[in-house]
Parts: sequence; structure tokens; C-alpha cells
Amino acid sequence: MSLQFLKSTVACLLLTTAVTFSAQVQAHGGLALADDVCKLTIGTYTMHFTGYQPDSTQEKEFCEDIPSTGRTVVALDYIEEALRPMPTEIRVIRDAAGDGGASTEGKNLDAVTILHLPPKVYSNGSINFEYNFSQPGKFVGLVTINDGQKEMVSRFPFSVGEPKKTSPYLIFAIAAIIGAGAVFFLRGRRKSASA
Amino acid sequence: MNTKNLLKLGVIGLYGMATLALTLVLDVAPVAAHGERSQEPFLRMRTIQWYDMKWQPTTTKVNDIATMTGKFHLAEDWPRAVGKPIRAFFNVGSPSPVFVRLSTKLNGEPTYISGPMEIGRDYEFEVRLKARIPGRHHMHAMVNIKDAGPIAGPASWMNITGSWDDFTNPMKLLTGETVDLETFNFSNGLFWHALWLGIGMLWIGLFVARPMFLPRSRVLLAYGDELLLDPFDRKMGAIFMVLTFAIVWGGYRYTETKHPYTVPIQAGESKVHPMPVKPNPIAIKVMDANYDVPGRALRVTMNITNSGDRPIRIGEFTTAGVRFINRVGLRYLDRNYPRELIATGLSLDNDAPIQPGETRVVNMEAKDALWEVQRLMALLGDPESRFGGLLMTWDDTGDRNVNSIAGAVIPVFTKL
Repeated sequence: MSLQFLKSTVACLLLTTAVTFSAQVQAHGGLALADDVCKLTIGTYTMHFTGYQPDSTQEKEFCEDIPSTGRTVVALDYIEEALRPMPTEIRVIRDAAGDGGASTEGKNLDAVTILHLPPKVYSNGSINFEYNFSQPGKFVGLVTINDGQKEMVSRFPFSVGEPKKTSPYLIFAIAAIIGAGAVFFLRGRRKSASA
Repeated sequence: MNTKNLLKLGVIGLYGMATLALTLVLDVAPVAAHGERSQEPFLRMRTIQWYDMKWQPTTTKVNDIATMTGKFHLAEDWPRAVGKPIRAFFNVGSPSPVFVRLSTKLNGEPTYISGPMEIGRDYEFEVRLKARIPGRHHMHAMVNIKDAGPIAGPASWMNITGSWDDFTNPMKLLTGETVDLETFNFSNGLFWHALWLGIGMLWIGLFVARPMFLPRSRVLLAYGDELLLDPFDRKMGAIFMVLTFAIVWGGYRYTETKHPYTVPIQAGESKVHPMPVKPNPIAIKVMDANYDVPGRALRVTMNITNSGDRPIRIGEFTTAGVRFINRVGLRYLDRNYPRELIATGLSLDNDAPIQPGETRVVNMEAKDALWEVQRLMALLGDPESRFGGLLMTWDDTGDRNVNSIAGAVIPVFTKL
């Protein structure tokens, strides 16, 4: 029994470690898929984020990373009514350092900005913009709102045209499961053959 | 418990943790939305079309009365996939019985049972509600339709203040006695539930204590039921049968004696006639419609003929409870209508009134984030991508005409 249990224990422990890393796999700053809606969180407010690549996938929607280069249309819909009278500013910057834009905080962003919509009130509750991403790479979206008292910024790193990276921990965990399964199965067969 | 068992339990626990880890790591997409937004857009746009809805007052104390009033039109473009309203029941959608419904009237007639409704016609409703559970509640009007299910209308937030303990629901009986329906015969209800639950458990327990279900089933399959029917089983079966009949008969006699005057639960069918048809001089034919996906705008091209004797202006397009209005519509808007269901993005290519006898091609745009927030344009993924709604026009005297419009809609991406 001891070897059998040890194997199971090791496999389970490996899988359990994945709990620690699961949150990081999904991290995209203020942007996340919640309740089957892609939501952008800014302070206490939320917007519905939708990305489209009409030339390649028509009205198919995506959240977070943009699957390929080319013409990309993004729509942001206010979920709370309170956002409608507030000016909203949009900026997309290059993430050359690959740190989710952390190194650009507090600096002049003009040099790395590829798209900028100055602050404006969108009374229809919807903002949309398009940009033609000619090269794959990493970018950061910045959405800024101002409620008259303070400025709130949502920062969401995203990639364009890069294959989705799978967590190395997940790959390791899956390999461990398959390995444990194979050992278990082969041992069982050897036992029945010797009997 | 020895070490081996402890280890076994530990491994089982780890299996649970591992399952949880896998669930978190893998990208598990939630399967459904909540509330009325999860209803298919064609159900909300092309079946019951609500208008003139009012919730008054929106803040009440426990025991206070509130009303929900309004009208609805049964769309001519009723979807083929949805059961026709041959048996419909007017209802209220709320998160548990936060209000007690005192009465429902359809076109002025008390309505407490279901009945047929006519497609293409309008009904007016009034519901009286008594505040019961404190809190902030989202209250919908609703019509339940056989073979279609509940079709929720727009909702407003209604606040109830006070304490639930103070709630009473007095009712005067035919005998002159007044009872509080909130607490009336509560212990009696508990007693009957406990009694039948006890008898049921005793009956099942009898067979669990003797050979269990699985061995019985195997014996039954192998040898038939003779072996299983021993004298004790027969005796117990007879006792339970007599006991059941005795309790039912005794309970019935007791109730008859204690409450000699009773009214049976009402069945049958309501026979409410729709509202009279108001002469409408406006004829509308939808020629083309598209939805600008990132622009969140429905654009409709219509042929409108004014056969009346006064010029008319378009002021509102309402669908699924969302009211798209322009300046004309704003003048007639009920300011108490839920703000989250009002969109000011209605525009026309020509704002000039349509003159008597004139036929005009009108390009209308209804633009707002609400198309997405209310999940109305999910219909683009339906096999029948059609929109529907009510178009409202006013003449210079304030007389309103309501036309139900519908048409196929295709998605477009307008270049920015």
C-alpha cells in the first residue's frame, strides 16, 4: 500500500500547489472575465469591455488578449449610470519593459502612446475606438475617469498576436497526473499478469 | 484509527484539494447570466411589449400599499419558437415574497387565474402590493405563458423600510372572524408536514431495517415477489393503508367542522377582453435594419405614412423595457421611470414632423450602451435575428400613437 499511497500523495500535492498560482494565470490588471462578462474595474465602477477584429472574426468578442494583429475595434460600455456624466480618457501604450506598464507610472507617456482619446463625456454610455496593430507585442490599456473629486485609473496589460501562454505549473501538474496514471495502470497490469 | 486509515483520509482530502486546484487553474467560463438579462432577447423584444409602467411609491414601510401599473402589447411579430399566449397568467417577479399581492386587475377586471390573450392587442394592468420584507427589491411585471414560460417586463427598485415582525395580513372571513394570514394556522401546517414526513420515514424505514432495496430487487428479479411478501409485510401494508385513509378522512372531517364555510381554490379560465383598439392613422413598414456592433446603435429604415389630419413626430422607441427617447419623447417621459432603462440616444435623419397624407422614408438610430448592458443584441447569434419594439409618435396636441414594429437585423461594423 505504502508506495501506492505515496504516489497518489505526491500527485495530489503537486496539483494542490497550483492553487497558489492560479490567480496569477488570470491576472490582467483591471480587466477580468466575471459572470460571463468581460469587466473593467475602475475604482468602484465597472465597464463592459469588448474587443472585435471584424476583418478576421466579424462580431466574435474577445476579452483581455487580442488574438492576432490587424484592425481591432474595442468597445467600452458603462455598467453604472453614475459613469455617464464623468469624463473618460483612453490611452494605449507600448509595454516595452514587459512589466505591465509599471515602469511608466508617473512618467510622460506620450513617447510610448500609440492611441489616445482625450477626456470626454460619453452620455450614451459607450466608448469605442479602433487601432490597426501591425506588429505583435505587449501593450497596456489605461482608462481614466474623473468624478470631480478624484481621478481613477484602470490599467490592463494585454498582448496582441501572441499565442496564449500556459502556466508552466499547469503543464507540470498535467504531466504529473499522466505520469501517476501511467504508473498506476502499468503496476495494476503487471500484478494481474503475475497472478 | 490506525496510521493507515489516517493516511487514507489524508490522501482523500488531498484529492479534494487537487480537484479544487484544477477547477481554479483551468479556464472555466460561467454558464449563465442572472435575472431578466439572461432571457433571450427575442423573448424580451418580440413577445410582451411593455409601456406606461409605473411603480408607486418606490419607498414604503412594512404594511404599506404600493401599486404597479402599466400596459402591454402582444407583438404581432411573436416568435415562431415561443408558445402562443393561449393560456397566460399575469404575475409579479420578485426576489421571494417581499410584497404580498392583494389584487391584480387586467383592463379593470379582477384576474387571479390564467386565460387566453390576443396577439396584436393591448392590456392594462394594476397590481396592489403590501410591503412585507424590508430591503431593496427589484420588482418586475411578468406574464407567464404556457409553453413559453415567464416573460419578465421592466423592473424598478422598490424599498421597504421597517421591521418584518410588524407585518400583518388581516383577512375577514365569511364567519365574521378576522385572521392574520401571515401567522394563521402556522402550527397546524407544521403538524401536518411533520405527520406525513414521519409516516413516510416509518414506511421507508421498515424496508430499510428488513432486507434493503438492492437485495430485494435482486430477489425480485431472480425469484419473483412471493419470497418477499411475508406475513409481516402484508400486516404492515394493511396497517399503513388503514392509517393513511383514517388520517385523510379524519383530517377532512375535522377541517369541515372547524371551518364550515370554505371557498374552493378557483380554477377555470379568465375571460378578459383586450383594450379597445384606438384608431391609429400611422402606418409603419420596416424596410431595413442593422446593428452597429461596436457603436452600440440599432439603425432602422422605415416607411411611415401619416393618414391622420395632424402632423406627427417620433419621440420614443421602446423595447424590452428600455426607452430610447429624443427631445419629443423627453417631454412626455415619466421622470420616475427607472433611470437605468432610459436612453437618450434616439435620433432621426429628419426631425421635421410628418405631415398629414405624407409618406416618408425615415432613418432612425437608437444608440446606447444599454443594448449591450441589457444583453439585447445577443439576438445576432440567434437563428432568427429580428428586433422588435414599440414606436411612439405624438401630434401637436399631445395625442400619442403606438405602433409595434419588427424586422430582420444584421450586424455591421461602421468604420470609425
